[in-house]
Amino acid sequence: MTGHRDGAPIHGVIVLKTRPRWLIATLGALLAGCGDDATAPPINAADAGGDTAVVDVPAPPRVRLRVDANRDGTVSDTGDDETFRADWSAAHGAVFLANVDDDDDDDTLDGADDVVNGDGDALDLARVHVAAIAGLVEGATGRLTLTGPTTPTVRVFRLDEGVWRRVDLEGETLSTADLRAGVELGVESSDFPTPTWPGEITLALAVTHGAEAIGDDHVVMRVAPFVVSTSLDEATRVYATGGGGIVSLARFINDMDAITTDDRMEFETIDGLDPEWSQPNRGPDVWTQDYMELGWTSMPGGDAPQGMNVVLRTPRVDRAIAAWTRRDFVGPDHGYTWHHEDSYPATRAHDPSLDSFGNLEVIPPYAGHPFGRIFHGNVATRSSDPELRAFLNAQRVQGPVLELDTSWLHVGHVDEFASFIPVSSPRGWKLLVASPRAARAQLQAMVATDPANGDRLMFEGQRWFYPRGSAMAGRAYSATRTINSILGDTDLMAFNQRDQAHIDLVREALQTEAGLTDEEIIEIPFLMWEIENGQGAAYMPGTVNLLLYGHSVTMAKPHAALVGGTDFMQTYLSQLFRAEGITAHFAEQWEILHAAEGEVHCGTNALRRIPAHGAWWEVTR
Amino acid sequence: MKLSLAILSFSLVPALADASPLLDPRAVPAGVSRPLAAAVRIDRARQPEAYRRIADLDGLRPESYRRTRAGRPSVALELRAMGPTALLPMLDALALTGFPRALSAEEQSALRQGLLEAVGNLGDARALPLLRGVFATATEAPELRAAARGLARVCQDSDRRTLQSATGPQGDAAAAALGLCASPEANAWMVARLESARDPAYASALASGLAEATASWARSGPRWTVDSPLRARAARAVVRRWLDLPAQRNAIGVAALAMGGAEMLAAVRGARRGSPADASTGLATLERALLRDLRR
Repeated sequence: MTGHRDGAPIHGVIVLKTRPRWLIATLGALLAGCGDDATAPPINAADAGGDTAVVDVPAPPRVRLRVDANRDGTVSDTGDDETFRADWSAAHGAVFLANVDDDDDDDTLDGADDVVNGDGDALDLARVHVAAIAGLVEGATGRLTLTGPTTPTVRVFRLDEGVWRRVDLEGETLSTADLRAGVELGVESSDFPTPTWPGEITLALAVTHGAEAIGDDHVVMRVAPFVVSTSLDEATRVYATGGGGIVSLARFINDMDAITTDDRMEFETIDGLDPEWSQPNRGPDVWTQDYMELGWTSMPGGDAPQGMNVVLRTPRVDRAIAAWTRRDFVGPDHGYTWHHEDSYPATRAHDPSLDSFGNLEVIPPYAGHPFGRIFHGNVATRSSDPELRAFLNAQRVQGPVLELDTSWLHVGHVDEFASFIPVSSPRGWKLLVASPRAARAQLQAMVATDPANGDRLMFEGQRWFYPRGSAMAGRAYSATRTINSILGDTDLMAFNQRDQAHIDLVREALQTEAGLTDEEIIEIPFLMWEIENGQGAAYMPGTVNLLLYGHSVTMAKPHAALVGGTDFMQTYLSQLFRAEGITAHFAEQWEILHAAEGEVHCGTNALRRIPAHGAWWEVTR
Repeated sequence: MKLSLAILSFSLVPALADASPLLDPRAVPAGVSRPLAAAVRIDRARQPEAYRRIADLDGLRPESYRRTRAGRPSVALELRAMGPTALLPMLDALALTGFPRALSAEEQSALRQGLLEAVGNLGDARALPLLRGVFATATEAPELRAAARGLARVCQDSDRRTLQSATGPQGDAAAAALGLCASPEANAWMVARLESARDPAYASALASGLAEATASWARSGPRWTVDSPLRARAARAVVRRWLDLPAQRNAIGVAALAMGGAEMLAAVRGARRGSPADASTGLATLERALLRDLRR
């Protein structure tokens, strides 16, 4: 941490030896500059020897930069803004934004150009004031210097008669008139912290008169990180990807539309067949969870933080639909960032599937992690884009990224086995985990209750492969099986026991990390099956893979056996969630999502508000 | 009706090049390809649709696999769903004719992998000559795994001995597959080897193989061939290797939980007594998970 603690302005008598004028000026400058201190003892001639004289000199002009160090949304001339202007800690320190939105909707991110794009953009600039210097000698000039990153670009603007213009730090000086009147500056970054730049800058001002140093000062600021929204943050809009006349997709979209309408939640369908990203021989990319991660960034803003929602685009450069994030999501207070390797290392360990954002989730807030902690599937033998992980870790607030082993899953995403719901408890949330164990127990219990239940049909009317409407639809395989057939399938059961073992270990990792009791974990029953090479996916619809907003969850229709005319698993899940104060909805998605190794969470995404408690700057990490 | 390749007369079939479009030619010597070709010719005449299905796999169609969440070609599941009638069509594709259109390297790898898995999964002795060839020549871990599991499913004595004597990557694949043998000899051998195994990868593979043989959820099936004393010995050996090989704790821990049962719980509890702090924490994790299972 850097900084200096200044007190009252310096006036009065300095006792010094008779020395040439240049030395007096130099000493004055030293006192006035960085590290000066009103309580510094007078220079005593006796300390230096030689002839002594008492000279009454005017106090040197005081050079000051001021920032919102106390984080109240305004820049003050006194108090903590003054005291802590060059400090950065959990308690104090100025913040600036990565200005990655597009407030004037001109298709250029605001932080990527040299202009301030209107009043909305000006709000995204962190203010720095050059305090007026009274009595400054005519001809004195000030030079601003910035110590910061090469990339991203940090820009400094100044406000002249209501107009912002960029300060050329290389060639521009502040005039005597500027310095006498004071100058309002605005600072922005073109992007977030990086692995090589933790986000801190130092902005310094040196005032000189010819070769004579008059004074200097500096402030320290830190750029706000990209923070991933947790599923418990308040949602304002749900997204899903539609496209064309695909019947199974239309059914899912219709269900989502109806559910969100009931919940009075805004629902937006992204056109999966837009010509800009539609690809030959490929239907719409329906994995809305995977091609973008939604989050936010903010700085102190008075009554509420000043910030914006931000979309992090998937590192996968071949994910054409991800262009939606840049073209359509970006706008006023809607920002964008993208981090990926330019060329993937020639290692077979990299699996692009792990770069999908169903593989990037956040444990909701818990002790030591007030904004939660990111967890992500990544092991040495099957890894995600290293640039992505480095970027996420560089944001620090939700890190370090908790890496889990998902190599046992064919898709390999953490959202295949874990999600969260809000509950009324001191912690405020519970962890949901996939549970083949619970599924097997439920099926066994049904048979134990009445052996005739063993003949009931699971997945009645559902099919594998060759979706309806495709040229090959006639070759689809029926998914329908009896409960007895499933329980008696020893390969399937042994595989599920193995997957349960994997789940138990990742559950333990999450449980230990967040300090959860067993009562804070809910097992969501569904069986897995082997896809290939020992890697599995949900066999019964993976109902842990759900969309949460408020106290409403939407998950896959289980298509389990009917008991009394109703799906016994749907009944069970409805009761389970109701007991936690949550309303459960079920969407039809077997063919478009489940049969393609995904479920409702995979097919949706949600925009969420910046949390009211969004003071990320209080996190010391 | 199962066709015995052994009784097919070589004189009835045309000579074939000792090459396969999908496999290392050494995996398909003439002694394998000739009788197979004859069998395939008869089978194709009898069920041409089964061959058309193989030639038109959904999981190799870009318009299909690109819409899946993994986004890559995958056919193992689809081939398994075809059942026993697909055996000869699958062997034909693997060893003789390949696929009727050009495939990308990724598609070809998925096809080879899926065919080997599905063929092996059928547990049909007619596939053994090919699987032996693949096991002897393959270098890729998934293919070795598929071949070893295919051999273990049928588990003829000579193949069991081959699997037991394999070393290196072959040995690891074999050890992990031997549980499918469901044979007392293989089980006893795995326990004994695990008790003395020092190579981390091999020990981990043996533990995985034992988990396959002793999975308590598959108790009602034919794999349940391990008596309780041997299960207890196996459990103790697994836990011992878990303690000895910290770098393998995740893999061996999975095997321990996949074995499950009261014997494993007893072994874990026994090991916790007097274990160092770091091991004790990990063992407590295993114990909690085992108890969760036993309480169901």
